[in-house]
Amino acid sequence: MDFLMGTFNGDCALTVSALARKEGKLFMVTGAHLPELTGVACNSHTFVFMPNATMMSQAVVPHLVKAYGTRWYMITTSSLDGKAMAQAMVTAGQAHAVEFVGEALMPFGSTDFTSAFTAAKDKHPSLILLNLYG
Amino acid sequence: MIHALKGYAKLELAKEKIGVGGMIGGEQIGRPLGYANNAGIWGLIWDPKVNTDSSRRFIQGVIEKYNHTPTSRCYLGYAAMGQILEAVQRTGTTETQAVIKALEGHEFDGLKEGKSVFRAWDHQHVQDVLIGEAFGKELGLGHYKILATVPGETVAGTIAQNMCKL
Repeated sequence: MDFLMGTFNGDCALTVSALARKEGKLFMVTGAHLPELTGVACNSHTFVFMPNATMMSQAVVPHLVKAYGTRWYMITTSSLDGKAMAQAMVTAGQAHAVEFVGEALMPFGSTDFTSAFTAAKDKHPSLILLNLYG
Repeated sequence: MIHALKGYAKLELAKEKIGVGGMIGGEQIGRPLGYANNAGIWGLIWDPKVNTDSSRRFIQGVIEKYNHTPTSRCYLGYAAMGQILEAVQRTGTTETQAVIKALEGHEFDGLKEGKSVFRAWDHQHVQDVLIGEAFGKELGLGHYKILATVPGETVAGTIAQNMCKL
């Protein structure tokens, strides 16, 4: 085996990245967006092809503000990936004076979002952000 | 995501002027969801409407082999694998350190309009990010109306902002 490539889930990407360094193999991340992979947890053997959460959030937030205004509610997967998305969107949103009026954390693999949308509606947001990934 | 967007449509929140969106969408969501149920503004990694020669060749190749238009997931696998293979070709070896050096700082055709580069100091692929609005129906090569192409270097941060120490 010469190269490692892939991963979607951020926990998995971090684990493979550490293994790649230990075993001296190159790892190309294709689907995980955790900024840590090229940030605090970067290593010499890992490359990230996927744009990270910081890049994606900084790009999309101005367009969300323009289209929907600045009162946002978040529905977030309770996982490393979901929380990384939420953190990136909050950081980017704060630079545009976004008011975050609430957040519903959903277990990974949830299929029924009725309660989360109902809770969101009660807060009268202009936008519901879906931080669902992993 | 698919279940959540079905819920958003079912509850008719758009009629109450509550928008929906987020960091990552794409054709891989809209197809199983059904275009009519998709909505909102999303960051897109790649989209079939990217108008470059290399993107068009990629789309044609996937259509000829698999009889469907590629999604951004197909893009990530194809383009990332291409960079490993090209690095091996440039170095003439699969030796890890040689391939790492060949990738660091390498500028390449990432199938997008702007430049693609693996930053040498953190190994992040800096690239365009697309912004798309789910249109609710097929627009020709997918169902997102592309609102913007954001150059990667404007959103990827700087070395001073990054904790990476290679």
